[in-house]
Amino acid sequence: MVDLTVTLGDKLVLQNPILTASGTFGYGDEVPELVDVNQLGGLVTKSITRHPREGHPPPRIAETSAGMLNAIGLANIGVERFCNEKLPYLAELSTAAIVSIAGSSFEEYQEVMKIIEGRQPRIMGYEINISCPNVHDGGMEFGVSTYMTEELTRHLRELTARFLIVKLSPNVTAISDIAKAAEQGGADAISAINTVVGMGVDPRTGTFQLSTGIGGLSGPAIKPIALAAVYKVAQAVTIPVIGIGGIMTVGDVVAFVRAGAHAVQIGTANFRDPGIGIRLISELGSFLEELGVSRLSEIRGSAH
Amino acid sequence: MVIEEAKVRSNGRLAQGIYTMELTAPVIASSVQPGQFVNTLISEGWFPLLRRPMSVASRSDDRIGLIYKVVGAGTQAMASWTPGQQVNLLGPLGNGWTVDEGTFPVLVGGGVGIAPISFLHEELKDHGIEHHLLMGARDGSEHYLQHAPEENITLTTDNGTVGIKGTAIDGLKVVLNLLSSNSVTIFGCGPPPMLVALKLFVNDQGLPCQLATEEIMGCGFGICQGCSVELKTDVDHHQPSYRQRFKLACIDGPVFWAHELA
Ligand SMILES: Cc1cc2nc3c(=O)[nH]c(=O)nc-3n(C[C@H](O)[C@H](O)[C@H](O)COP(=O)(O)OP(=O)(O)OC[C@H]3O[C@@H](n4cnc5c(N)ncnc54)[C@H](O)[C@@H]3O)c2cc1C
Ligand SMILES: Cc1cc2nc3c(=O)[nH]c(=O)nc-3n(C[C@H](O)[C@H](O)[C@H](O)COP(=O)(O)O)c2cc1C
Ligand code: FES
Repeated sequence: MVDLTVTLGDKLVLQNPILTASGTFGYGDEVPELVDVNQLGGLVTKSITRHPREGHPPPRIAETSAGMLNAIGLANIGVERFCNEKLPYLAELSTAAIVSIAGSSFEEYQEVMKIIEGRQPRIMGYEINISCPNVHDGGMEFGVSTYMTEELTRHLRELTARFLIVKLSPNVTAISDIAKAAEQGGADAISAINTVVGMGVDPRTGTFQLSTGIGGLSGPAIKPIALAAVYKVAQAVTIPVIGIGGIMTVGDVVAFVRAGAHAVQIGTANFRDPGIGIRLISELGSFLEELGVSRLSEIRGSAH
Repeated sequence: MVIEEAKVRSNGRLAQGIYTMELTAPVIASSVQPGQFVNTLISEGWFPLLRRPMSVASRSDDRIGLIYKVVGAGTQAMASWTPGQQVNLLGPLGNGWTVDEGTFPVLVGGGVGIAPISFLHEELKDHGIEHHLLMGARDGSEHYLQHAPEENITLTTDNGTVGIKGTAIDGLKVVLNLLSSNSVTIFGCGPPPMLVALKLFVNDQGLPCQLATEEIMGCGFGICQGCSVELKTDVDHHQPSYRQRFKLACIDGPVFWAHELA
């Protein structure tokens, strides 16, 4: 029998290594008729900010070769509505509910976390989306600076004893340095990667495909970038790594584990097939059985 | 909303560049309403990666019909599907039209906007609700109906080869002039330029009008936040809000009141 449970550090045990990625599965309660989220290893909510956000004007999405560009602009209901409308539902889940937090200043991240912690919610932990521009620092993303990453993690670490994941942006020169900074700041795990900076232009009209011009690329197109990032990060830190980026098949899941991931998150693939996470869980069992592997830890980091 | 493995029954050319497909999809067929759509998985591989939204154009027993225009790789692939082929559909999605009793429906379709308009036309006929159907096209070859104003069917062509010469809006003015009823509701769907012109016209005339919008969609069921449609709001844009200024075409729409659209 294959044992799919994974232990992340000493705080969090997941029933299997398949989670949904932030922003690609709403708050988890949108499609109960299609997906029983309790079968997942966990779900990460859409990133929550201090106040509700409308997001960017259309078009926010464009398809590209083996991927998609998005410029959603963190459209979300804001932390207060989140606490009132979504936390009760998340508290009932048997799977690990992880709340993604975003902000444009240290204070905003802290406030969001304080408000949620104040509810003493039954959630497993947080994922910190550090790919947001820091308004106080001229719009530079938190996630591109080791200093800001470490400081932000430290500030948030002080506010919660729950599992704290820092989600890295691939749009940096040395992702392992950022990962180390998050570890230094007290993160329990690293997830990688967020979307890759990208752009599309209509060759006839010259117009941008996204209203914002530049946006984020996701889907199979970024899988090799994500694998390399996960591999580098896993070499650089001792805390667990969660792999994200272009995962579509069970083979992809296993490749990320071999690159060093403890668990993975499924993003864009949910848009094609909201049931993909659950399908991958059963396929993973058979895949490992064929390999003669009884738990993931046997092959983790085995890429050579 | 379900994911259904549908089966292609027929697929063929309807007019210049426009195709029609009939699929067996009992579950979707049992509940779909005019104005709703299905999100069609084009390929088991990843090209195209995302599903393609298609309005349901008809329903009979356990079947649904689509009318689609070949504009890119996804619709090109659809045009090559043959009877017996399995197709993964997600649906029915979206809100659909709402027909209020007591007003005379005028249906305005252009291009592949004829899909949701045809479905509404058939449903109204089935329910014995009198209405007028107006279809616009650039050229007569794009039409598949007969111009028959006396039977409440008006066609327009930009080049005058069939029906009234002019745009769908020109046709609408003629139709509205002929109507005795003074209370109409307009139902519109078509290519972006037609939708813009229709919106301006009905808002200017103060006519109630429901428009089916076509936004690029990531998921089709509300989880990606990709399909934003801008609405007119009294909300101060500096006040934080969610889904007041930007609604989502896939769950708040695709049908919106014209006077609400920005
Ligand atoms: C709710 C809804 C209902 C629709 N109903 C129909 C229908 O009944 N019949 C039909 O022919 N088409 C319909 N469309 C449009 C259809 O989804 C697109 O034409 C299709 O996705 C294009 O796919 P493609 O791969 O062939 O083209 P692509 O190569 O993806 O794109 C070709 C061109 O079409 C535009 N386009 C792509 N996706 C969309 C989209 N979702 N909406 C509008 N334009 C798009 C692109 O900007 C580009 O200019 C509908 C769209 C929506 C949102
Ligand atoms: C439409 C869309 C919205 C996203 N929103 C968020 C978000 O709110 N917070 C976040 O941390 N990541 C967000 N992401 C990034 C994903 O969580 C994921 O890191 C990325 O898409 C790569 O994975 P994938 O290739 O499997 O999609 C979003 C991605 C997409 C496509
Ligand atoms: S298409 Fe994903 S939210 Fe509408």
